[in-house]
Amino acid sequence: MELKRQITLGQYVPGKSILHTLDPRIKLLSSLILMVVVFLIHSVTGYLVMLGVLMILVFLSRIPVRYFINGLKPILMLLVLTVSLQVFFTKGTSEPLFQWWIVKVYQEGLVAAVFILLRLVLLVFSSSLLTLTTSPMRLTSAIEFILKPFSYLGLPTSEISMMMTIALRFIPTILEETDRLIKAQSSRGAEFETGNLFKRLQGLIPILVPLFISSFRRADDLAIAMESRCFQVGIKRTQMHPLVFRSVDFLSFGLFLTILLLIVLFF
Amino acid sequence: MSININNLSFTYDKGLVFEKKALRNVSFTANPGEIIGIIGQTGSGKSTLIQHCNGLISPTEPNQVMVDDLDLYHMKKTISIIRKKVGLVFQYPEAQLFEETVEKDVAFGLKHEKLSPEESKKRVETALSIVGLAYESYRDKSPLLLSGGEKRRIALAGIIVMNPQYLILDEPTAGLDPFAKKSLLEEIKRINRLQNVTIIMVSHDMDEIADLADRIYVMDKGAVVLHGTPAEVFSQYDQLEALGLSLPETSRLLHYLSKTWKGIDISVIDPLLGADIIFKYMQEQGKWN
Repeated sequence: MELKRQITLGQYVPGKSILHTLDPRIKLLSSLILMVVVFLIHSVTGYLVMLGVLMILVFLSRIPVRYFINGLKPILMLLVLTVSLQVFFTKGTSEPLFQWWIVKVYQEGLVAAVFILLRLVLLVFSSSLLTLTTSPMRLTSAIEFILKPFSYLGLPTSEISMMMTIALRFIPTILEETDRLIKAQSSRGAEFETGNLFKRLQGLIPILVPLFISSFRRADDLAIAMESRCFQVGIKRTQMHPLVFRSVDFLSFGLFLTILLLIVLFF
Repeated sequence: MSININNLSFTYDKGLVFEKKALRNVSFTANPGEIIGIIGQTGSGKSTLIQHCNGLISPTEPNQVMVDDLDLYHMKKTISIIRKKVGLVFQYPEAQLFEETVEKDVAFGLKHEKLSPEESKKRVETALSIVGLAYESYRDKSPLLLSGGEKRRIALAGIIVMNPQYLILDEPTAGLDPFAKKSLLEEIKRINRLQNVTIIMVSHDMDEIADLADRIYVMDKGAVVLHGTPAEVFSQYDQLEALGLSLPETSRLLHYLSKTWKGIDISVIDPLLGADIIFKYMQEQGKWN
């Protein structure tokens, strides 16, 4: 339970908002385009407008903002590092704003720092928006759809998407199992939070060995289950819930593209 | 000296969409030497409750979870003392085995006790003999290659080796064949009688619970809804049925008979005593010729 709360990677919050029901292919494409656009903008006002647009989307998704902020936590160190690098190591042409010993802070540095901060925050927010509103299954079928052209080049796209589906499906299972093992071994007096690095790594053995054993067993079981349902590699498969574009999908995609175009043109 | 839980509530993922109330105002006592049974449907809060007993989940307020008068709220740093007192055997504990040999695996819990090799060997030997395995023939075997029942015993020995005063078992017999089940239950009884270890046992097998437990707690939706001796609890047929729980075979039979046989004693759980009651009732009613 504790682990699940900490690792929000690919977390999906079920809901019935318009963003939840949009076609996942549209959402995937939109967030890819959004990420490109983030790098095309060169003014702070442009970023603030983008942030405004994203905030409207967050509001539409009906997901508490807390979840999006949580998505920033894993990259907090990266944020701090890049921002401070920009602030302290950008050399400007005008007089430094602040000077102490060998540290000089220029206006250009501050601007660059704000830029990079906003960029990273926008990137995290837009990808969170995608994963929080799209179930892993729908996301993989969207990826399969987008990868389809590559199948003509010999890329085993349906196998790749099957592997992704399985991997995503088992993330919570394995997290739960890890949690259980941590609890079981702590009940036997195992300690994970004390000692030096070597001791701590050693402390992982009682967790990792059983985890590997059960994962292999699970893989075996799954292989047998799939084969007994006639799963074969390289065969054309149909879907139970095939993705279908609706007019609302095209409409929102068009609207979204127009807004992004306007932002790029004017800022 | 006992485990005391007073008015404990607990919520998982507080404040998130996944928020789930797991315990609601639960009070619970386990006195020395007792065997306590906890029953309830999946998701009724049994696991959350037992994980509070050895500090795997911390109480959110003082005086909620007390083990031998130690308040677990104040013991976050010294929780290893509690873990040694209260041994917890999870469901399917064989999944936690990882060492190369049985001896090493059982001795894992002794690592922090700084025992001499002889002492450690002695403790492992005792623990293995309590669960009915011969030390000499098992010590060098790989725990991963043994049968399901043997693995379960080794995992149990891995907890018993720490000499806990309380032993908590989460469905100890799940997935075992009838013979392994029976002998494991015998061992649990023996641990209770000979070492005077308090046993808290979660189970879905009502006959098992009826046979072993001195007192039973019935949980539903995170709350204790029934509590008493097996005879008291299993005479509440309708309530148990409404909770989706079954009865021990004998109680079920007697309850079925009581629908037409007015006045028959339904508080008996033991099959032989049950047969006796049926026989006497038939004699009294003139149904036995």
